[in-house]
Amino acid sequence: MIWKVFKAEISIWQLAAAFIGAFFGLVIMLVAAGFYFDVKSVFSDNEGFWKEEYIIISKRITSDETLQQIDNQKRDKPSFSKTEIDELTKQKFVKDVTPFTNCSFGVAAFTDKDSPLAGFYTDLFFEAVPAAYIDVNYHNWAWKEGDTFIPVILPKTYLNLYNFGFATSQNLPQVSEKSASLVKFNVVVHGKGKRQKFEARIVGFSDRINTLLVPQEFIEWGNGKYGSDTLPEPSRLIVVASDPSDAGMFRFFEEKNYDVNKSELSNSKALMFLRIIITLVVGIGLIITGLAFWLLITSVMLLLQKNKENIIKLGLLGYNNQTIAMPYLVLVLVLVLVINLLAFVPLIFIRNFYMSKILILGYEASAAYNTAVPLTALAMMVVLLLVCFANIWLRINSFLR
Amino acid sequence: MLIQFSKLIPSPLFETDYSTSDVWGRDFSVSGTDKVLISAPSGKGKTTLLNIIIGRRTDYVGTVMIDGQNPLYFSAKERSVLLSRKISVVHQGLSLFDELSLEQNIQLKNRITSFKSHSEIDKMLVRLGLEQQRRQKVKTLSYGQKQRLAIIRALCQPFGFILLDEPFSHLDDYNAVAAWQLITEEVAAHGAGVILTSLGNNHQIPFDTIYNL
Repeated sequence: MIWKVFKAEISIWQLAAAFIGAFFGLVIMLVAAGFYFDVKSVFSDNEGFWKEEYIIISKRITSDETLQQIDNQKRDKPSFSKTEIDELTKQKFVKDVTPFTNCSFGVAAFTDKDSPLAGFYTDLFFEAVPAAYIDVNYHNWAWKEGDTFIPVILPKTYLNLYNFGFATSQNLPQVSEKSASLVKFNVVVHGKGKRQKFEARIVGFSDRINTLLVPQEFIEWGNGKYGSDTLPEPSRLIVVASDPSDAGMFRFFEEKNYDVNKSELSNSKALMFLRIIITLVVGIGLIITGLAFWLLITSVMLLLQKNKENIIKLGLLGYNNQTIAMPYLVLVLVLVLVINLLAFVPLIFIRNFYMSKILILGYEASAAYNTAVPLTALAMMVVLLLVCFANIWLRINSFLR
Repeated sequence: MLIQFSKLIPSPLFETDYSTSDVWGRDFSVSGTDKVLISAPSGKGKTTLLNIIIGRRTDYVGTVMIDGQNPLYFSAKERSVLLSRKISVVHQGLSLFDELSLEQNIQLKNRITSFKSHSEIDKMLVRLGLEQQRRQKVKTLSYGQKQRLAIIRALCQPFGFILLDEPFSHLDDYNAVAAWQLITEEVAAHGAGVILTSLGNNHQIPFDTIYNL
């Protein structure tokens, strides 16, 4: 009956506009929040495309440097001192820093006379990094004193250079990763007037690390036995970035004149832009939702204002404030509930749309989504209801004072 | 029920001469089954007095006490109890709901207390000649019909006093007498009192007391 009194003043278009506004605001907000949770799982996925970034940095070599080194004015090569490494470790975007271990002894490789590559001889160098940083899955990446076999990892770019540059132009056979791994060759290490021969084999090709890798134990042993007495400072470092999208990281490297393989950072940059875009969308979503909710509250307040006379008359009849407020509370409750439920329809469609693209990249749907998004919706619903209820209650009380 | 007035002066009258008034600035009370006429030309504060009693107006000095309680300090709940069970009011503006039918207007009041049965309401409608207009929207009724409707509605609740603000201003003598008879029967049944305001006693109603504002 009270509802009949108020109904006459309801403007369907006004309420519909508020309803649609709040509906779209909520959808945008939930899509943005949901997208954030879905993409966040991609951010934190160590195995995937957005894995923790391994960045290899070195000092930039200038022409002056080159000339000085040619003239023997300067015998030290640019390398990272301990203080520089410590400073880098302290940066907030850095999770870990590991130096490459250089070898200070001579290395030569050659093949046996009966090898398919007979007559091959070259001087070489080796470097080492801790096994944890190596992206080649080899079961026995280790060496201990007394072993005559050394496993070697080459950069994949070397194989490509050979296969698609050298082999093609010189009419040589191309080599697969697997067949390259079958070739055994000899390695001679020398220094301090001594030499020792080892057997070696390529056990894999690395995408990540652009050097000739052997187990760290071997280099440490060799440096002790054949190398110079002072260990060279590392010329290259592996930096594990805790947040590859941190813009501060690029700035730091640039300021320090460190050289970074640009392509290694492309993921980082993509991540950074993605983060900016998500922040923007969430921000805009918040603004639209805020405005839409404000419109809804204003519409209800307008309805109250239009019914001011009726509310006062009901008060004079002896209706209590709760009974008078009830139709408005129910109206708002129904509106907000329907808006919330309906918002999940486009939400599910939109998520299916973008997840179909993300899933192609090999990611699983975020488990957090299923709790986080309904919780977000619930939180917004509760806030909206509380604000509306408080406004209605205060307004009706002010009318009836 | 006892309503005590003590040196009431509403703010619009602060600057005027109210020395001839029987009400403003005086101490008096009404109680029990008193039938009181507040008589005055317009603009002397008849409506204001009734609104002060029910706590709707607060811009005055002096005090009103209803059974020892000041309506100024009533909570929202106490006021709704006052208006639905203790004091019934026919406002000068009638406070009807134009978009509802005559019957719905009555039900809107009666459902708070479920005081009158359908047949009792029907009888009252017949006595005041409104039985044909039962389903008509109030906005289509004449002012006289609306006044009779407001009176019937005011009788659909228990009360200790009924306040009537110029209730017969648009009624012919026949209808005014019929309405007054209906009111006095209900008032007698409740053992209640009446405060009626009017521009003058045009309807030859026997009041116990007449106050000139």
